[in-house]
Amino acid sequence: MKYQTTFVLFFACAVAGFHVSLNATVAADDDHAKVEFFESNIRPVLVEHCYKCHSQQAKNVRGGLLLDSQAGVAQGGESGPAIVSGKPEDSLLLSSLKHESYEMPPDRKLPDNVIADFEKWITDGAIDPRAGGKTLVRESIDLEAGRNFWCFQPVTKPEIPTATDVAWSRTPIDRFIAARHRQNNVSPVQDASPEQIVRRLYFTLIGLPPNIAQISEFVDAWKIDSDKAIADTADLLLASPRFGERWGRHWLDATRFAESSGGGRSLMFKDAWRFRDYVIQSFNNDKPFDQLIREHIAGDLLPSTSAAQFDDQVTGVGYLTLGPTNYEQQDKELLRMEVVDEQVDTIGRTFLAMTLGCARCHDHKFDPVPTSDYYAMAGIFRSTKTLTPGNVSGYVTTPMKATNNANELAEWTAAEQILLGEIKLLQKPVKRAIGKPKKAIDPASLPGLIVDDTEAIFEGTWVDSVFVAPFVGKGYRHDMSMKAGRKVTFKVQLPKSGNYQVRLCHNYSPDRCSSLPVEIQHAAGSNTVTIDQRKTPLDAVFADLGMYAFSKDQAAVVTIDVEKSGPGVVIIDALQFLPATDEASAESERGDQRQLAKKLTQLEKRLQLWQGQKPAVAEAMSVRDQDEPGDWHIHVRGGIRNLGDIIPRGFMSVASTATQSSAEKPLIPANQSGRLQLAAWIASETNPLTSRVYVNRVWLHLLGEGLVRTPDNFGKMGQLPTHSELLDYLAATFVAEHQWSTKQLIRSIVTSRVFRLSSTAPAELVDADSGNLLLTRAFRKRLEAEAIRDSVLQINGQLNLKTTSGLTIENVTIYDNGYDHEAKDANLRSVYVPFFRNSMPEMFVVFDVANPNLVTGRRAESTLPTQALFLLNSPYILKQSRLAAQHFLSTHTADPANADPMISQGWQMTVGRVPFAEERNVVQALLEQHGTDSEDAWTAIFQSLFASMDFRYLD
Amino acid sequence: MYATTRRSWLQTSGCGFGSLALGSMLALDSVRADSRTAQSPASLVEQQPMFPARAKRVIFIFMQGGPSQVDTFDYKPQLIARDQKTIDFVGVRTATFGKSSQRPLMKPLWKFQQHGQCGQYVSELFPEIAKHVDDLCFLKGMHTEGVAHGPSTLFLHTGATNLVRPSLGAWLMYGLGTENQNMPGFVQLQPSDTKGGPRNYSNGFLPSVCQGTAIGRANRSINDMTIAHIQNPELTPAETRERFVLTQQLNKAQLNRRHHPDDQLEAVIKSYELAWRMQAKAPAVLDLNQETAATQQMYGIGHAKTDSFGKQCLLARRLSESGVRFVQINYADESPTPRWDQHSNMPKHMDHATATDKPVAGLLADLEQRGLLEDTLVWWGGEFGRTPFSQSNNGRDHNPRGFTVFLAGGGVKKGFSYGATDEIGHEAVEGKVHMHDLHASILHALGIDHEQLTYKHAGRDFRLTDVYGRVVNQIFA
Repeated sequence: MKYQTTFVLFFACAVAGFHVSLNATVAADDDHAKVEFFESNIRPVLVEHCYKCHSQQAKNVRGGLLLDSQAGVAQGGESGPAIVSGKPEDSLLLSSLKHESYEMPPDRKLPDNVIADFEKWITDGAIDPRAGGKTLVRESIDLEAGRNFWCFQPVTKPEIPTATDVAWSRTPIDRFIAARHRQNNVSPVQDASPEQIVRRLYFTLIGLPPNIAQISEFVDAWKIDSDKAIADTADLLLASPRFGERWGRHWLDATRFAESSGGGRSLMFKDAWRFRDYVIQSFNNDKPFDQLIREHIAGDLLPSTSAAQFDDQVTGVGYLTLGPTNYEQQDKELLRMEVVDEQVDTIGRTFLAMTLGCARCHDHKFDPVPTSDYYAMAGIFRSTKTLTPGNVSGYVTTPMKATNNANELAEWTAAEQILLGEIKLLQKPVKRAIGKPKKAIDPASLPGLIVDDTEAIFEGTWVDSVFVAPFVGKGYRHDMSMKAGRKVTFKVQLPKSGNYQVRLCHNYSPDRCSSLPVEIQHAAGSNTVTIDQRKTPLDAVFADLGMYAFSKDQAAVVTIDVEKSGPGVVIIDALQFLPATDEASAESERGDQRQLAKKLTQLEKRLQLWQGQKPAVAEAMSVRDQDEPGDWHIHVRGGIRNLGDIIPRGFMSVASTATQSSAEKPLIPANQSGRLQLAAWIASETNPLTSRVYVNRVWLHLLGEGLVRTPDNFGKMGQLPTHSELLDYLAATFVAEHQWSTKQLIRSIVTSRVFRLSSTAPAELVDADSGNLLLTRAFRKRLEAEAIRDSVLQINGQLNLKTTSGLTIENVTIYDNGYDHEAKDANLRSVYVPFFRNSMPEMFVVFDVANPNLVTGRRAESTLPTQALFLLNSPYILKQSRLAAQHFLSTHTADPANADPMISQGWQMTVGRVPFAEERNVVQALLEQHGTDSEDAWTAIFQSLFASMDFRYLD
Repeated sequence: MYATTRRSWLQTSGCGFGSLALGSMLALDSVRADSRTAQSPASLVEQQPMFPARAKRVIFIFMQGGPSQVDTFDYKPQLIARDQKTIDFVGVRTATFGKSSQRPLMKPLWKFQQHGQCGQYVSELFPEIAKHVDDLCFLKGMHTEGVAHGPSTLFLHTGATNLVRPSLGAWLMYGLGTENQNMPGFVQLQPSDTKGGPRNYSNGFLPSVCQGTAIGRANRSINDMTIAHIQNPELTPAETRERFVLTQQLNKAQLNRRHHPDDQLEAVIKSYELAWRMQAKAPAVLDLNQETAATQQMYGIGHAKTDSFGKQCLLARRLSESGVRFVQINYADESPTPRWDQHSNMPKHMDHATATDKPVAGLLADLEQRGLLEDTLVWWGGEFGRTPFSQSNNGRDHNPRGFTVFLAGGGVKKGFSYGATDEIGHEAVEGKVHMHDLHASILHALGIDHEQLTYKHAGRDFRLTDVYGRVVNQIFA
């Protein structure tokens, strides 16, 4: 890849200064004054506070911004020009100094007078005599050149090399490998033993060891026809339901699957298991991989011909929802964008082995991915709804069809609709909206005389608010729940003497004052009424204070002494005086209303009960398109509120053919998110990355290393393929011949010679083919945490095999932390053990389980004393070892005179071979001492075997 | 035959994130060779800092929940004068985001007094720590990211509120390795499972050897503070030894049968040997009974209110003394509203102060008397501070815009205070130190340039401070 480079150099130029000094015009005087102003008020500040990070002398220029020349200021940094001459309000430099956009300088705000100087300087034209200097180089990505990189080249099926050693090459794959051996003049090692090969087949295909009968069956078949023995065993294992459990787990690693969110509050995902089971079933059913891609990215948008298919697809798209989202993030705009970023980055790694996240803040530094590509894809996911609103946000779910009782639900919904309809009919006459009236109430719209809080006399500190509706007039006041010294008095001159109903408006809420005494002075004296502001007044607005006689010659006084009130916030809004005639008609209306209101309350109670009886609805974690999809802006430097140009939605330009890329952007209909189109683009046979990335993952799981050893990064910072033609051959046949069938791909690889090679090699070969780049031998594989646990449980007879397990989280609560895995371990296969981001079974953690926060193509393989301590001392291993001993002794008859047959069987079950003489001697001594039927001795033997390298590693 | 060449079989994409792993304890494997050039393998044996270091190790005293700066160390006469007056406040939480409202100021609930030669103000909450102010360096212009506990706590530990990043301790493991090969290099005492949980001490994408080792758990008995599986719960010492020998006999037999040297499998044998040595050495380090009664008293051990935290502090000293690079003491629990989180009922701050004051003061004095304070950097603080205005009558809300932490030892100025909040203690206005800046400064004290300590992951170089952070040179002596 080549970068197009443009240098913008500004050479020192004395003309400006020369001009000023020689032409003593008024204008020049003015300019001169401005230069002086710059020199005395601006330059020293820049030098002192800015140059450390924004000059050519800076150790590390920040934000691409140079402030040590006029040109640098004019060009600005990555966020655009630093100033707009004459327009301080549009000048980033000024807003940064004011700490309104950026906060500069970062350690403290400069004094106001200094900031005012900058404002004046910019207003006056930003005269800056610092000619010369240099601006930073801006590089742009050359997509055409980028396409020359190997992984962006179209996949073409290469010619299969001719075999010179026909007996060695079992499949076309071997011919590619043999050709490289010949070129480099190396010879591969011999085949592994049949005992090793059968163990290899079982572990790589189903993740469990073969039992003694399976081993001997294979060894016998191998003696007759080794090719057939492998092919038959492979077919048997590929058809086993255990296959999906093994390969589903690999895919769950690549899709960063987990059953909780992790992060701050790690929320449990109660429905994530559906995705897990869906993945396992997809592998068992050999779902074509292109279909899996479409379901993962746009499953909710795909047509379906059956309820089961619909469910499968909406579950599959849960892929987009399963990320490590911090739902607690309070800045919801930031959260929304973080989810989008996570989705783009994850898709990039899972399917394309591209680190798209690098292009979030700037063009990708290594790969030809411009920021515009990133936001073209981000636009697709901004147009996708993943979150539901809330203080702690939630995720989108979709009701499933086949797993729900459709009739029961339909009946329930119909009944609910009837209830809702009746309630709606009543609500109007009762003048009670389902929620509170949203707006301010215009006093002129109300009957009688209205006295708003603005006309009352307030003592003590009160706070104006419009936070909670409804309110009369401009707003209301509250006492911040502090009582001391607070008092309110309304003094009202009524126009006519007579009886008035007095009412006080307050909006209600549970944190309000529970008992507020209100004193009403009327013609006949005074009364005190206590109101409860937590309760809803009948018409949601006014609380009734009673009917009193008032004289027009004497002011009506209503006093609220807050000091005498009960706990809670006191709200003071308007007071209403309804003349008796008004009140009489209002009263008769209210009588009717009371009837209706009673009925309404009953109906609402029934609705509440009914809703509590909603038939349980199976829901899948999923997404859906936003109501208003659309293109989105570039976020300059990744800042979510730093919006740049709008980018039409699209995909990775470099991995698109010329017609798909820049000139003709993919057509995404305005009313769609673009996920269908993105899925089609990724799942396309012409996409140069998808098939290569996937076959490489499969190769890695079978052989121990990928043909590209960085399975999640095919870019410049990844590694080049060791066998690029073989990779292309596999990718091309996977799509064209195998029709995206994972099982056929696996079968084609395990039947090859390269799968059978021994893992031990003489030192000369290790030197000649360092790193095994030529595949002259097998990689020894360490068993993963799951394989170790499942094997132990199979050997001790505890393994609980269930095909589909459903929800395995015992006791779903809000958070995952503190989940007691050990106590709840039901001896299921490990893939079904609840997989939480903040709480994992200890054994998983100790043996490098995939970190579910990241896409993991290849797990780490550490060798730590942690593991040694776990295997030596953990109660879990001690218990499982004892169970193994008990199980073994209950299924084998101990011969006190001859321990040999038992030792052999113990070894075959555990490490798949008979013991070496050295091993046998050690164990015989132990059994002689304790007896061949000693549970303690066998516990020690099994524990030591589980801890031994031949159990932990697969040769 | 086992002392052969070392080779990197440890993958650079290490990803352990566990709570119980002893990742950071061993010398088996590769970490930083020279990050300035490549990620070639080296070992987690002690590494040289990039430039002369002021401190060799860190003790972080984490005050979970956010202690109030205006009730502890940030004395604001104006806040007292303007008690009950209202201020305009623009909300930062979801429900009130961007909304302006008025909030009543609330004066500190405790009286302040000047202490020591330096005249630093400390409230009545911390009478014992107050005696050490001439050793302390206060940062009063702290500010950070996140408003809720989860994001802010993750930010404090990893420099990111949401994205998955290695924690500060893991970066130190990566950069400096460990001093004592028989002990973990990065230890968390009684960490909480909540508010980020194990991610607060995970290695993120750094090799698993860098991850923190949890000793004990918040909410569990203080007497459960031990390294996972350091002792066999069933067998006698003699039986334990027999089983260890049996395992190694099988391993050696299996290795011998390969006929070719094999680094990968030799490492397995070595990992058992290391585990065996740890089993022998670590329990003694963890045993607080080896301390005199006088020392225990210094930490408040034996008194109901201070016993638990006193034990944490004393164990921290023992671990530091034995060469543990980063020890975090957690004053934490597992509840949704953590310890110092007084949204209502500020008087509860007194309980937390009482539980921690004497133990922290004891730790400072003990480090001093043993000459450890010189090259141990102590850091006391929470994930954010609290608002100067009240919430629910007598509580205070979270305040990420301005708060106080203090440092001691490790080459920082003594009896010094840097930075300030505004006159009511709300927002940092002078000598502002962002959490990224504090991270950069801590690495600086340990002789590491935060911009140079990088790790290549997912196609690019990452560092603790992302693209931010600056060293606060003013605080170093």
